[in-house]
Amino acid sequence: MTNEKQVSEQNKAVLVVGAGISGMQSALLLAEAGYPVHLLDAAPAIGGAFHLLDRTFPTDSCGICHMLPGRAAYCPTIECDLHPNIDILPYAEVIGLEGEPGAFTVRVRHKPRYVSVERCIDCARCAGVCPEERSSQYEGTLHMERAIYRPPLRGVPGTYVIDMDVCTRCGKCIEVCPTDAIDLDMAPVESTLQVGAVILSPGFEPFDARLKGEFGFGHYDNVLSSVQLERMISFAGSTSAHVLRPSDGATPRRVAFIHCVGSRDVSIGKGYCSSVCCMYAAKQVKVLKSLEPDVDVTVFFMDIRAHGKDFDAYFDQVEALPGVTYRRSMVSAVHQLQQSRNLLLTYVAEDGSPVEAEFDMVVLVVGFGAPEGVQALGETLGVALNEYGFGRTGYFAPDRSSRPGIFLAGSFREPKDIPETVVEASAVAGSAARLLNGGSQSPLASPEAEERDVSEEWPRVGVFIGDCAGTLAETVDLEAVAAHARGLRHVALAQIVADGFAAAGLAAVARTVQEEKINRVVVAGPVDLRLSDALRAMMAEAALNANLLEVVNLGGEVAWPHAGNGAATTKAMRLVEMAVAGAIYRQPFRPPAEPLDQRVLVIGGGLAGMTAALAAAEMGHPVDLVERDDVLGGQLRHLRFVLGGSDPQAALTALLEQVRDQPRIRVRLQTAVQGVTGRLGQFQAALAPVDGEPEEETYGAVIVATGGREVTPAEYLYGQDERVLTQRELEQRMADLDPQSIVMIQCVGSREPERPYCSRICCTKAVTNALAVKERNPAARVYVLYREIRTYGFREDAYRQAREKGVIFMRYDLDHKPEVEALEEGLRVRLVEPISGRKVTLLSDLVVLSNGIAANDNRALAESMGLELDDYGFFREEHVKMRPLDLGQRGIFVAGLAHSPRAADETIAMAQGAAMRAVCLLAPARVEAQRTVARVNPRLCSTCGLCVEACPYGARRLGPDDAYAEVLETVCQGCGVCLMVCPNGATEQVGFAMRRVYDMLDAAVS
Amino acid sequence: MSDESFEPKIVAFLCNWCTYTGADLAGTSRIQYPPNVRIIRLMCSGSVDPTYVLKALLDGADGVLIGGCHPGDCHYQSGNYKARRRIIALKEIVKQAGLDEERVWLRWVSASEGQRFADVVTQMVGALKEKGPNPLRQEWAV
Repeated sequence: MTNEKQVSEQNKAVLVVGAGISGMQSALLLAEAGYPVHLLDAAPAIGGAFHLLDRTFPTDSCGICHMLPGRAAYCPTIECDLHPNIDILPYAEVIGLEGEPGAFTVRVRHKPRYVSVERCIDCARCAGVCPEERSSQYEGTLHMERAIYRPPLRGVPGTYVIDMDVCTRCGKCIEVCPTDAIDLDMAPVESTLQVGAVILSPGFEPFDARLKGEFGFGHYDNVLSSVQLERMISFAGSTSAHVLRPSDGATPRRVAFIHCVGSRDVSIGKGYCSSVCCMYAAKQVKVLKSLEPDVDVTVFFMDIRAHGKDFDAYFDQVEALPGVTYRRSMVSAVHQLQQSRNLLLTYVAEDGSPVEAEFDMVVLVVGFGAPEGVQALGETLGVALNEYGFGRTGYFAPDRSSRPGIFLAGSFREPKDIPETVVEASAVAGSAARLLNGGSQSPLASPEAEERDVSEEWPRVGVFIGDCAGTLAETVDLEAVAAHARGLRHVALAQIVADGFAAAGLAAVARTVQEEKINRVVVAGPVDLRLSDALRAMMAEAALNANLLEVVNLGGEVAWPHAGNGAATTKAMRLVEMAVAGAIYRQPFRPPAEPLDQRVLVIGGGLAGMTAALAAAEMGHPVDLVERDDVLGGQLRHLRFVLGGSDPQAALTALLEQVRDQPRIRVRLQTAVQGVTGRLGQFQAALAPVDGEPEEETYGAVIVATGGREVTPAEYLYGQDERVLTQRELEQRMADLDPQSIVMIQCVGSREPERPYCSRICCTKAVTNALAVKERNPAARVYVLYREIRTYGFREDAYRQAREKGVIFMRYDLDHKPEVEALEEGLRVRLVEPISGRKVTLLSDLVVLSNGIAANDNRALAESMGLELDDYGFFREEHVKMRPLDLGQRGIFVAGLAHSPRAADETIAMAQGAAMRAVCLLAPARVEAQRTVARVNPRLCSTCGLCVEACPYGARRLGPDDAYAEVLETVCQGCGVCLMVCPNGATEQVGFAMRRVYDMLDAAVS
Repeated sequence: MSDESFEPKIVAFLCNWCTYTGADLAGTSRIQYPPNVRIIRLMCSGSVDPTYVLKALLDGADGVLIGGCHPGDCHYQSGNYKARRRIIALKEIVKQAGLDEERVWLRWVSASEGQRFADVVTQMVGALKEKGPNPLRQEWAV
């Protein structure tokens, strides 16, 4: 990627394979940055696992819409559909790939869905007559649907598909289809794509719990998988958030959760930890308790892996719920009781005795497996997979597959949670962009079309009513609605458009608007969001500003939800009347725009900062990399071992060279960033070199990579006895030391009252170092004293290897912390085993402390930028789940330890992701205001400042000479909150004048 | 008072991102609910001016529904919280003015909760039928 090569325009396209959360995020970022994207998915509709989820931890809300490039947005499936640079290829698979990075030829096979996507209007008549049933995959097989079925609610395309395994070709659907969309003889089609890069994000497959026969899934009615429960507790699921026993529909009173089903289990070839199950199960427990407060829940688990940001706090909350018991024990068998269909669980109690307990329902917390068919995909693409079938990447190149030009992200690389998925998806989008020579200027800004000046004209409203294959006319008397509209004030004409709002129909509308000198257009019909581009084009065709359009959703608001209802026509008339009233207030609007400075400021020259700087520079942006120290490298300088055997110091050397050789990077050592003010496209940073004059520089975007620090242990004789070391000290002195025995103590300075979060990396670090000790001296005795072992993902393999090599893991709890005593012959460590209460004494040469990670002092910097820190001094991201890279101010991003404790590979992904997010915002070279931006009338403004206080974006401020509260138009996101707090009516919102709403209200209620 | 023939008229102010999308989803999914609701779409529940609600009631609407994103999901960070605070205060004013504050409903409906939107409207129509027409309503011609 360092040797930049010229690629043809055509090959600027990127293929994204797998359109779940990861694929959609990559696609949207690349599309925003101006790259054409082919977004392919094996399923009939895009969305992946996102369709299964209703609420996520730790926010207990969906929030998926927040993951998109910093603006308010719809669900990502819809945003992908609406984006002009994204070409969605549903129900397709890659069957061949040739060529090299920058010039791949990809063969794609499109599976037949037997229903034409273009023709299907989603009227559901076919499903109404289909006699055959299948169990719905998206409802976790608990719900039946017809052989001709619709993909999940937010799926795109939302058109029907036939399951040919179930279909009997009876032809009833063909008879009722109003648009002749069904073709039972549809054949697969092959096509070829020319792309420059490929992103693989095919996601994961939930573990098939039938493979763990001892739990009875598939045989016992009331044993559910966690996927099934997820749908049951979802408001959008088939039971509408009612938890019901499948055997009798009763609400269960006693529910057991069994963790690690299909994870951490070599007997079924799943030796790894699925990373997220502990937390999603905790969420399920919490939601279950909120839906059914009387239910008693028992959770059987091995370790609680709450290693993400804010996760421990969330888990503690769930564990403390009344009626919730967490039991550290694995269940050996589940048996069904014949009469009650209750379930008898056998497990080993903490004292070692076998126990049986009865439950009404059992939930198996299933892990993540590699997706189906991925073996073949790997072979087709020539991409190496690991022993579990997941994509293989290097530790210091977590974005790259074994084949150049093909990048990996999301759960396919390793099971992971949504924030990490969003990070990786952003990172690989950047990797693809760098390969394709970066710096693609977005073609999004459309040329300014000629528009008729209507400012001096009296309103002439044209009402155009369209149908959708007769589905509206079935319920609504469209002629009557048109007649009603003709009687309304300002309406010049109202007509039914013969072709509906297909291309021909819209062309006819545009003609009529021009011929009849219409200056306000009301479009009433099946106005799906997907029509918005076509409607805008129609307005342009008619030489009218797009803001002079008002739409009435006669399909979604009237005909379809009120089928056959006699009052529907009246409602339709009323809605058209409201729209006409609203249309009169519509004014032409062109969003103002501002240029964006293309330079990027990276604060902090550690691994995160250097990686981010390099990524942004390779995408064509000049970067200032500012480091307070006199040397680059940060914490990476102290790292000696990582899992997988890569050499951190070699990686550091390579990175330093790349940074040095990159002409777009200017490194500024011994320079402090005293503060950053301003906004996206024009941030002002105050730089203070140690020996030099303070300077002010302007940047378009800022990446905060200020790092973190090791906690200095204050206990266990650290600093008092030289035989007590930190893990880092052990790592550095490994070659000199030859200990015969080592006791490692985990959670030193983490998960304690003053620092209650998990430092995430220490378990893996201890295991890595324990293995390194064993490597040098297999006879050495190594003990690890831990509270929970959190070797998430494939790190679990190392934990298992350590145990196999004789490393002894012993648990302690916070009430009985180990005690270290210095003796002549060694260090004596005493601890109490939590389960048995047995006292253990160990004598060892060394005690090694797994000390946690703390934040650097970021207060002054955060304050200058108007950003928040969390309780422990880390930067608080905009949305903990969906926007881990964004800080509260648009255009400022975060990477590495400044955000939260994380390992080096995770830091690299985060830095690459942050760079891509910054580039994505800067790519259009100018920032446009939102179409619903606020405006202020200075003469009415009393400078009371209420709007300044109410604006969540800092877009309102007291303006020149404090004369009025101005609007920073490109910062305003157009929510209208300031309009509402303004006591004088000085603030207006484009498209939402208060008079417009009042008049619409009159039309609605009169 | 309960009148079989009485059909309450509801004005709904829905945010553009979650609740309106949820309402549209109810329609496109063919989930049936009573046609008594007329939607005015705004960008955010936080931009529902109290005067909109008061005017609706004074004009004779039998109920006003405000719909926003679930707590934590606001597309404008905190608009729904602002709406929540404002509606609590507004209900107090409505009550003091001698109107029935239970004619004003604030509900969170996400973009995927078409069924929930339909349920909310159905419940609201039922509750308003129990209450009878808004006493301020001069005439009601459907």
